[in-house]
Amino acid sequence: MRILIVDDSAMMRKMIRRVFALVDVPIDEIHEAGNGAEAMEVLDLHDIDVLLTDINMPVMTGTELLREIARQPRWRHMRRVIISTDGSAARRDEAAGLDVRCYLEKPFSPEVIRDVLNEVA
Amino acid sequence: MYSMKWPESAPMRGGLEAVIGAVSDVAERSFFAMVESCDGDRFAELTAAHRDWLSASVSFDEPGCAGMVTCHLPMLLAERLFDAFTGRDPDEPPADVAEVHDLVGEFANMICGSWLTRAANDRTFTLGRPEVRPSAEPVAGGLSLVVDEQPCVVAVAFTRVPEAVTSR
Amino acid sequence: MMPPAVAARSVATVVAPAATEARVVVGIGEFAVVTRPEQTIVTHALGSCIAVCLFDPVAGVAAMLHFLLPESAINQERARLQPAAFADTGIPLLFQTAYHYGLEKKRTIVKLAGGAEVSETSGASLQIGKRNALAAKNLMWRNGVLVKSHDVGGHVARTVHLSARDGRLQVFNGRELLKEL
Repeated sequence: MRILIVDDSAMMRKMIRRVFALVDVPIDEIHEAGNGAEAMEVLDLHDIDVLLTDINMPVMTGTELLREIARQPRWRHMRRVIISTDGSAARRDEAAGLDVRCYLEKPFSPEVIRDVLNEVA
Repeated sequence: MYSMKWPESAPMRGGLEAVIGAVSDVAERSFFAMVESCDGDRFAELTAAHRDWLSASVSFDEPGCAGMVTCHLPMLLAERLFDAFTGRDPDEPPADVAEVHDLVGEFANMICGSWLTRAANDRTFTLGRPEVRPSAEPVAGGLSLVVDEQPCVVAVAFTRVPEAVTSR
Repeated sequence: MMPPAVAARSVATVVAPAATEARVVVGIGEFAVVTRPEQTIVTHALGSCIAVCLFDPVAGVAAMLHFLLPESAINQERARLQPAAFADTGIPLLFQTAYHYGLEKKRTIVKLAGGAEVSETSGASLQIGKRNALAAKNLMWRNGVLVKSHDVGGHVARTVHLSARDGRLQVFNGRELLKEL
């Protein structure tokens, strides 16, 4: 499994990576990006199976990233997870229209990341 | 004892209780830290023990209002929160300053977002990038809380509300 | 100087890998490690205390700690005599002892129970139950262990039974089975 973590906090990405190292799920590659634009660059270079993305990020938001991904048939297979502080009904409804598999609201414990990974693996 | 002025016209559910709830939720779930209120004397005593503080601000904008959430915490607490959040093994080297700043910014980001999710009546919101700065002391005008036995001030400042602000 | 068996009792730890009894009872500030599949570890009166339960399905090792308080710094003398009373001394001791009997951290299934606020005592107002739960979770994470499941908080005292056959944890309030983890 090849994973891309998109969040403008390097420490959030580090925490998620640490959970992945503790989980008994085969992971081949983990890539990181600090915003949606960087994520697009990674997606152009690497095949990604699972995307975890924040919403509120500079340069290109998570919503904009997911809309771009939804437009492209080559990424149809990608399992998409949102990790965001925004748990509003409006944002969740928006996510549902973007083929998001899981909506993970911050704050969360490490175990929640494990459970999400087990679900999308 | 610090106090926070809450504009009557702010269209936010829950008032100050929602802010405190957000801080508790964030601290407990992601940082395994206990949040308590305390009296002014104890807070002053806790604050006096620290010289190095960090201030992390996150701007917010939603259809009803706009403003900024700021967290002030001593460096000691910031480092503890870092260890708790990242699960740093004691044998690992200590975090560098940039990493601690990033983490404190994320702490403030989560508090702001968690509060708005509770309080903004399901309206979507946008958050600015956290700005973290060293500070000599916490500013006045915020909620005085104790996080993991250490002082922490959380302030909400509104820059836009539906009607003219009449602060108490 | 006390012989080792008596010394072990004086620090109120219970280590019973060779015990023949099917039911091993852990008291407050104690822990146990068992290795026979027919054995069950039981602890009662989990109010604000936390039961930390470990199970290695490959080695067939089950272990349980019943701790009272999060940090040993508040009473170092007691921590010296009874390390299992505190999360920060008891949890490492539980793991280190279980390792001797074949438990491996990577395979270990961890479950937590307890951490309730059960009375109007000063302990309840200090939220000891919540502090204990946070301390246990923090220690697990800091040591690279993810908790499989937990039943913490609330206002009822719990009794838990940990099976060494399959690691099943039954949570009771009195005789009523509340849940199985």
